[in-house]
Amino acid sequence: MRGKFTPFIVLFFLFSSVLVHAKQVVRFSPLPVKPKEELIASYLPLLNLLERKLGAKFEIVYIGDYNQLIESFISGRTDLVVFGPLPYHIARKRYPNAHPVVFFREPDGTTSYSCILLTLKSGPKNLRELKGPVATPQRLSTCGPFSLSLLLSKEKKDINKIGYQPFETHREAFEAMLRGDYQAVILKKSVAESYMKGFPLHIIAESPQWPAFLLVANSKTLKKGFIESLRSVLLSLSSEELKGLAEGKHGFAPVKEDELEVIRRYETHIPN
Amino acid sequence: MNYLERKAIEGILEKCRVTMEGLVQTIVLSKGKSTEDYLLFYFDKPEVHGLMEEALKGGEERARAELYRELWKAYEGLRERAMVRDVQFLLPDGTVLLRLRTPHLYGDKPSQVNPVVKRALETSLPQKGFGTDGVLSGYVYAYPLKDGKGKKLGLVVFYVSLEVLRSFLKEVNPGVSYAILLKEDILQRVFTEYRHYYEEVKGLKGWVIEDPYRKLKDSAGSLSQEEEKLLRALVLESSFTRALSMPGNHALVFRSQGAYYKAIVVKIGEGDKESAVLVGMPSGADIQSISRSYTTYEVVFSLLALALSLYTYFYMRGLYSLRLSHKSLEMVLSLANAGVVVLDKGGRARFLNDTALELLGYKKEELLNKVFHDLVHYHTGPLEGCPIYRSAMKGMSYKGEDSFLKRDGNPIEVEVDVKPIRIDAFLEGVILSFYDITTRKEKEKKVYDMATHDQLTKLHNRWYAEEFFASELARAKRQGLPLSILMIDVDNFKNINDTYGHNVGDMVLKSLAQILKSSVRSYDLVARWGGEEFLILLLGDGQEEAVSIGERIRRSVESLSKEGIPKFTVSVGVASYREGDDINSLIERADKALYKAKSQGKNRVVAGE
Repeated sequence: MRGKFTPFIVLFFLFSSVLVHAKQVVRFSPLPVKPKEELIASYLPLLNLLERKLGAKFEIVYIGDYNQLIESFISGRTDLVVFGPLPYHIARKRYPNAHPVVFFREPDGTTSYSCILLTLKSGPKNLRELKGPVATPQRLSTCGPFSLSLLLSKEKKDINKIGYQPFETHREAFEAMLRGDYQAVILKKSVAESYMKGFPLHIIAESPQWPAFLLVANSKTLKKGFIESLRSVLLSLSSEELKGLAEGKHGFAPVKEDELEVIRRYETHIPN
Repeated sequence: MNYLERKAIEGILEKCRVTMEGLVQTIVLSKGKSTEDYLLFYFDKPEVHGLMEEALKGGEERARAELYRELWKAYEGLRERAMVRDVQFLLPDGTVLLRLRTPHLYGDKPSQVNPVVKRALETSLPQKGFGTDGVLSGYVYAYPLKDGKGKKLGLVVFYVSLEVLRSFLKEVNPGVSYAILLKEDILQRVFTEYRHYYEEVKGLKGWVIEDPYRKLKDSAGSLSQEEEKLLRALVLESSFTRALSMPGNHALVFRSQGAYYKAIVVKIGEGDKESAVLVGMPSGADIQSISRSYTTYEVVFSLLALALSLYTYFYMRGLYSLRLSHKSLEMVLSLANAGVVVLDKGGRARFLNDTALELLGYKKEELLNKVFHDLVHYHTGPLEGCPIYRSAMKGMSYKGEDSFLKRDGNPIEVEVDVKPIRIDAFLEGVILSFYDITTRKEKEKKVYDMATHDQLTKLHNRWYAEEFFASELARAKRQGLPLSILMIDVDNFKNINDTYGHNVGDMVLKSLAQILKSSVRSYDLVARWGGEEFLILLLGDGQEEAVSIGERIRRSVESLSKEGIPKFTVSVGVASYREGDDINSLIERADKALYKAKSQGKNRVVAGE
């Protein structure tokens, strides 16, 4: 009798072990700071590395709009995202399952960056002379209307009176200013520095230091153990391994929640 | 495949190859002329020269920003309307000062990877060819930039999308599939961040396709499902891979899902650096029917051999018409795709195949035994002057293009081949085969029109004008006839564009073109010389008449009142032919007169001294 059922028992255990060891699929959405193909290409080396180390499959889900990125995360359609500090703050307020994994270090190795307001040398020399309008990255970008509003408030200027126009990427915002359509542009400092080498620009204002970009996990769709493994892998990458990356090549750092509180202090400047 | 069949197929393929080569040449030349116009109209200006000078003196940052601000709008317009992918400004040492498409990329030296740019820098002459701009591939037109004193300021380089080639070919031959394949080594000349736009051609090692999913709107365009299917079948053919590796252009036949197709492979590039190929894949239905007809021919030929013995008996009985029809039938069967008519010595039609009747729109009984020329051959002049009739009478061969008249009275253009039929050295008649080439002629005319006309104003372009000018000047010299030219320029055109936009600027040019055409005779030449400059060539007119016509034009423009078009004026320079003049001296004199008109206050006509 036992002999009759043995093949079925063997098959059952085989099938279960297949299920247990089926690869986890992680849906990943990066912050859309660059054109789509460039953005995807820049994350592929990191994702390939994580696939090898974690045995999971990473699938890129490109979302071009910050607002839709946040909505997709909150609704559980993505498992892992890269957020700037402002989008993280907005998502976290609505969704306690937004779990910060690591900071992406900046080119200077730190875990903070600022936004700078740039004009051409032939334009306004300081904030007082700025009459507007200003080109910005996306509406919910930390270096978008949020930082602009904060900077303008120092000179008691109203962002709505000055006027601004969000663009899909930092590059488009910069080119719009260069064409003369806008008096100034506000950009992430590391992005602006590459443009400053080739064009006659000067900085007329700089924001406070904001926390760096974060890798954020959806703890509703990813298991705690997987998130811990992901964090551990990223924080222990060797310099050789980091050299082979595009995004993430400057390394990663653990997240301290209190560093993220700085955005809350200036909440009134978040656009509606 | 027998010899005749192979020869027939080779003939068809050869025609296709030559036609496609001609079309590619035409579009390359035509685009070259267009970029020359863009250069003169938008970029070869004192303001641009000034900024290039500033860059040379160390003010690169400011020059870059100002050039971008001045010119991005013109570039966007060219990108939308003319598939100009990028316009780049290079310093004399070959360093990129500015890319209008991607201003954040500068400082590299494309001459290290782009032979066209390298040649332009070395020779200080305009150059054209195929190349990459570091992002995507296309035709490169490089023009040296010099100031008024001839000092080298650098280069202006236009990159035109290969899609312009595909679009033009699809317009001329709709329904034909095209693909553009690039050699893999092109990736070494592409910026790293853009390499992912290229994908390997499946089944064809060493070749890539640019942006197959059309992520960038100005790339060479994605392949349709049909094109992908055909390409997949084509790469399996060893004759195709051989054609890719052999020098020169080739044509071959292949099959996909049971149907015949032709593949025309035209190399793009220069000399031995053929970096890309254009593959046209028209239907091979004509090839298929030749194959079928030759199979039929072989079967029928065997039957004919059997009938030959009967033929001898009938011949001995003196049946003239059966001899003629046997002999002509043998030849007719070898020409199943053409219209075939057998004429006797009197020019009467003794046999017509179905294709002939179909092409001419006649029923058999309407043409049989009638003098073919009287009903069908469309030309004026006596019968004896007709080459076909002369062939029939004298037993000569004749080949040429001609016009036939269909039953409905409409003419068709045909390619005619006439061969005498001789039996035992006696002339019995002729066999006339013809193909309808109306469509081909219409396409040739369209191609010619596109190459010789300015697309905006529909006037002749500079290329055509120079050719026409040369021949008319030679005639005027020979016959001692007067000849004058008017050089007409729109006053303050840049201001019109800056104030009202380029669309209004275009409308101004079109309105002026209409005025110019209506102010002269039909045999005078009116051409768009460049940008906002126009040339009129007046045949048989001396200076006094030319000045009078110029004044008439000036007044018509001044008094023009049209909705949507601002008021504008023109300045006119006049020059009349003198002993010893050539084209250059005439143009120079007209130019000087025009310059004088401008400096004296514009809106006037000045004759050259």
